[in-house]
Amino acid sequence: MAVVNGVDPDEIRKLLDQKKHMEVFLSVCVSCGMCADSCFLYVNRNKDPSYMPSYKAVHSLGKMYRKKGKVTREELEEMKELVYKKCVLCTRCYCPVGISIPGMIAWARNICRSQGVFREYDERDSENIEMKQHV
Amino acid sequence: MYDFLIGPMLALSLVVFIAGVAYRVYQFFSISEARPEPETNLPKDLARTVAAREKDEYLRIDSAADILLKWKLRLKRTILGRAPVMSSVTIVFHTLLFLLPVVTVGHSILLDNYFGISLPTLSETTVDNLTLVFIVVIFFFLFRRIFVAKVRSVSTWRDYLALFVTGAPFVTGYMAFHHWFDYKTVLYIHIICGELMLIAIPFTKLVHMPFFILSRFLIRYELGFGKGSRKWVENT
Repeated sequence: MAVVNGVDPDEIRKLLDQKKHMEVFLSVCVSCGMCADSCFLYVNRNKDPSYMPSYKAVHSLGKMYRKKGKVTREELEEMKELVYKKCVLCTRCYCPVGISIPGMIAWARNICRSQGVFREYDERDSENIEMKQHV
Repeated sequence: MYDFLIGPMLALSLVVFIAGVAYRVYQFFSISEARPEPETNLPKDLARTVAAREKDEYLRIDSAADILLKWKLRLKRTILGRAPVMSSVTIVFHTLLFLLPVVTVGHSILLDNYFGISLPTLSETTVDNLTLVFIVVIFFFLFRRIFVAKVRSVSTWRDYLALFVTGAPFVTGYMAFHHWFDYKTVLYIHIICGELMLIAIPFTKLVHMPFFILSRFLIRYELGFGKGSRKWVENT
């Protein structure tokens, strides 16, 4: 990692260019919302739209493609939650058009990792605390 | 004006449409590669059992009820069984989308004039009523996109554009048939909208027309329709 607190757009760009089919996926997605019910996290988290498979892919990898890799550190931090916490890569989501969503989220994780954005296992968020109280 | 719209303009839009779709098909084949058939060392009947188990079809058929149950299970594995309302509306929508332009009497006369092909047509009242159904379904999709939270959260202007481009020829066609407003102007707008839709197919989200068929028939995954002889290229 060359820059400590910034982002290396060239490296992101290089990684994005490796996956031509994902760029096509994102231009084909008709945003029909049919993938929502196949995600068990979406079903169990009160049908919060941010847990929807296409939402996770479009707002992480899709955002990087749209900005051609020039994402800021803040945006990567926002994606961190989407790609690490809101998806477990169970590969059970389906798409009527035939897009493979988990691959895109895995690649978004890869790009985040290349910029030093990792999953934080020791963070305490309000959601988890709330769930512990119920138990 | 009319002669230009149904002559050179139509030819241009058809050329752009066919070339664009051909490019998209080429693009699909360049980002996917042939997948070798996985080798199996199992005896034949065992391999068949494994394949059936993969498809959740390990049911023993003893009666007619078992056959019904088998088809029920098969349906449960598809989106049609998971979201019946939305999928049936989509099927009606796409069937009408392809059917209506072909079976309209006016279009059939044009086709006959150009290429000498005469296709079967439906009566004008039937086409009229079916167009009304189509317009209702278009508005169903529009309101779904606006009011359902999960769809709104992923919608961009490109989705609205695709919906608009698809709906415009049908709405204007309905208006032209009923002679609302000035007939000639509405007819011209109808022709322009139809040609714009053809041009828009390879470049907007309507590209799912070729992509859907290629992806679900050729790429191997558990919900695919075909044999699945191809897979995506991992690193390009």
